[in-house]
Amino acid sequence: MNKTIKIVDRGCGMQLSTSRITVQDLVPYFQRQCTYEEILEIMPTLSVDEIQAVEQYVQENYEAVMNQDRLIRERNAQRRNAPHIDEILRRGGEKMAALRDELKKKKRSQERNGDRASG
Amino acid sequence: MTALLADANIQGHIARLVARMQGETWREFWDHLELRYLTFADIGLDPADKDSLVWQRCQEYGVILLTNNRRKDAVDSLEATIREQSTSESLPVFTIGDADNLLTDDEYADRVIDRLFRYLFEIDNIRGTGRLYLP
Repeated sequence: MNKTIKIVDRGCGMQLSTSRITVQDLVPYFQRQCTYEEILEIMPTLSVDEIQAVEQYVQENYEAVMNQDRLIRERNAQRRNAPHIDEILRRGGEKMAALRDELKKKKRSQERNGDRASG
Repeated sequence: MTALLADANIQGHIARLVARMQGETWREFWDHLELRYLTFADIGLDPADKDSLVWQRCQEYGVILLTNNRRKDAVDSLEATIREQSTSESLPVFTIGDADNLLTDDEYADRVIDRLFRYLFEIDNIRGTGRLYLP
């Protein structure tokens, strides 16, 4: 099926009419001059036609798109979790460390049992 | 058992992240949590589906959505869906600070993985938190 590819706004910024992928999702790869093949590896659900549609939109709206990119980068640099989340992370880290210790002990015990069996 | 789903714009990034999570350094945590990595098709989604449907389907299937951070506004349609529909039992959405960096920086990838596992070990305590940010 050959769908018409448009650049539309559905509340996430300008995006493809045929995909959840936005213009801004692709901007960093255009900035790095990635090939279509490289972009397709990163976003395998895209088609070359879709990448070209976004590329054309970026070329035609270059200043506005790059200004938006700058604002997104600034906003992202300031994003933080709520303070109580740190406690959750600490507890999660403790559980990981405990599991790792337990698995190490189990491994040592199995190795010792193996030594006895073979000795 | 917990499952992860990459949003359409970071599937290549998350595929690499998951491969690393299943590698020698992190495998014991992946196995312990019985994690699975799903695709949109696995839960009946299309890459063009709207945020609200993607979020709802993730909740129905008990899947954690991993997203990028390149939306235009701080309050986008995913954020609006979370605000309108999230309950104390809802699974959070994880947003990666610099997904592009996952492609080139293993040290950064390990920081993201460490943080993600910490959350997943506390899965019941992060329900209802809406959206959580990874490094």
